[in-house]
Amino acid sequence: MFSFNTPFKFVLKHLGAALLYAYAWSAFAQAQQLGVSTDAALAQYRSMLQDANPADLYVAKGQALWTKARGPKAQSLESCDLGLGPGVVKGAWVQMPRYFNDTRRVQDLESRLVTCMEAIQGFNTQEIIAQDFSKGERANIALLAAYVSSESQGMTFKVPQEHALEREMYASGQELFYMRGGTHDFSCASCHTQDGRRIRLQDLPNLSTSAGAGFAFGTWPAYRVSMGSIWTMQQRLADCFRQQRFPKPKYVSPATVALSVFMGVNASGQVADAPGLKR
Amino acid sequence: MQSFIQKCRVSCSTKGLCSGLIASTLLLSLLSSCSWTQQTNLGIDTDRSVQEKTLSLVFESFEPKGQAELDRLKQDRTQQFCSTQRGLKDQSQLTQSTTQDQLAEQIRLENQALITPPKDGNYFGDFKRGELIAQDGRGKTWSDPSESPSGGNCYNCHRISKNELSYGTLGPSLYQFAKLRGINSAKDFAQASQNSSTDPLIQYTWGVLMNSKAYNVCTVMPRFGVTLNHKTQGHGGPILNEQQIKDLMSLLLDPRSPVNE
Repeated sequence: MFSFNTPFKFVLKHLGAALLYAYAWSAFAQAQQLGVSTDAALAQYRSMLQDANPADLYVAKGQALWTKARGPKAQSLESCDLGLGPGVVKGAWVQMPRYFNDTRRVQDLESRLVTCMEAIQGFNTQEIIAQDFSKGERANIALLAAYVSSESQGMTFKVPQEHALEREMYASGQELFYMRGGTHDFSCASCHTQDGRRIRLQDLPNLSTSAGAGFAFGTWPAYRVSMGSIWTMQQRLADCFRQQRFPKPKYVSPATVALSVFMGVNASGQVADAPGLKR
Repeated sequence: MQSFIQKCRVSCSTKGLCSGLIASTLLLSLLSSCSWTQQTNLGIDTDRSVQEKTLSLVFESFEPKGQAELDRLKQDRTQQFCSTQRGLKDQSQLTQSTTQDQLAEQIRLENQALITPPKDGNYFGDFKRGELIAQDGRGKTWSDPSESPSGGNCYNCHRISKNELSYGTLGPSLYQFAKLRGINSAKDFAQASQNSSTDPLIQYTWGVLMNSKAYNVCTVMPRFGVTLNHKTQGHGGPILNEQQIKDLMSLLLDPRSPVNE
């Protein structure tokens, strides 16, 4: 998986992937014309892409970043504590968001990565928060998130609810999930509380169920074919709020972490499969 | 404050949440300078401490961007009530026997009062333009220019015209909308539209497009023709203007529309 690190192989890998998407998409369109049900055609499209998830590339890059000395303090992230002790990456992601003693906050993966990048490497948190997704250190966080989440692949979610603040964040996440507002009266729940529904052709996970939350929470970060890049959960949530016609959630803000606690706890017992592959 | 305490008594008796009374009273007075709490005292039964914590958490978590300003987080009575109706309770399940159901009916009637007939008395436009509006999912997000008209987002949730296969399933199918409701010919349509102001199907369709909450108080369908109490709603007013709603009326009810093929 980590062998394609020369530029030539990189190009080959991407070219192959691009061809595969084009082929899979045409097969999807054909299947639709032939009257094959939309759901079945989409499932076929997904299964064709699954063998060549470009997210694997981002995992490799993220791992390299994790061990590289960077930032004003020229340190690697290898001493970063993701909840299971300094440097422990394996299995950390399926137990996040969680309460951290040093920051006295409940943090999701991205929020925690920012903390480590400031404390260990000397990056400036406010600068990272002010950046756009996919730019500067935010692009690096997506790579790191791909790597960290991949180290929990196949494990079951066990997002803790022991600390009072963890339970409080779940309650607030739930409250926010059902909070209707904006010009269109939408809440998260408007789209994500029923099984088997779609927006246009896009399946909507039912985030109030364990299976639905597991499928959604357990597959971000993900490579998005339509965007040609990897998106983190923070980016997914921000774009949901955009489409909900809400104002913009600040990066790693408490509201976004609360929603992740809600989804993560709901996903208890489900198997992690990130980084995923999405439309 | 009196009404707040009264309110809390109700919520204590129903949910056993008395212990936080003093703390939440303090919190309430702390927050009273901010407009967020004004909306919490609308006679709606919720877990106040969680609600207040969440509101302050939301307040610190969002920032305005583009046309989407922070006032979009301020809920009106309908939004606040429907946030508490978690099971997507359908209008048909309301019994009017409980306080909550009576409140639901009250809010539904408030929404009904916001429906206005077309200014010129003509309920119809152009079904071809209606199809374009139904296809268009843009408008009102922080990345949309505030001056351009919004689309109706209709295909996001509904099957509509036969040939559009990319449709969502959150709402019911609208394919053959008029045909299934007794308008089978140009003659039927002409007859109904001559009596638009009393025809039940025309009044119902117009009403749902203008303000869906007048029919099913917590439906996920937006209130397309109503100006909500948002400053930002002022950018172009309601989601859809009157002409756009007329075009959608034709898309749904005109026998020549692809919907009724």
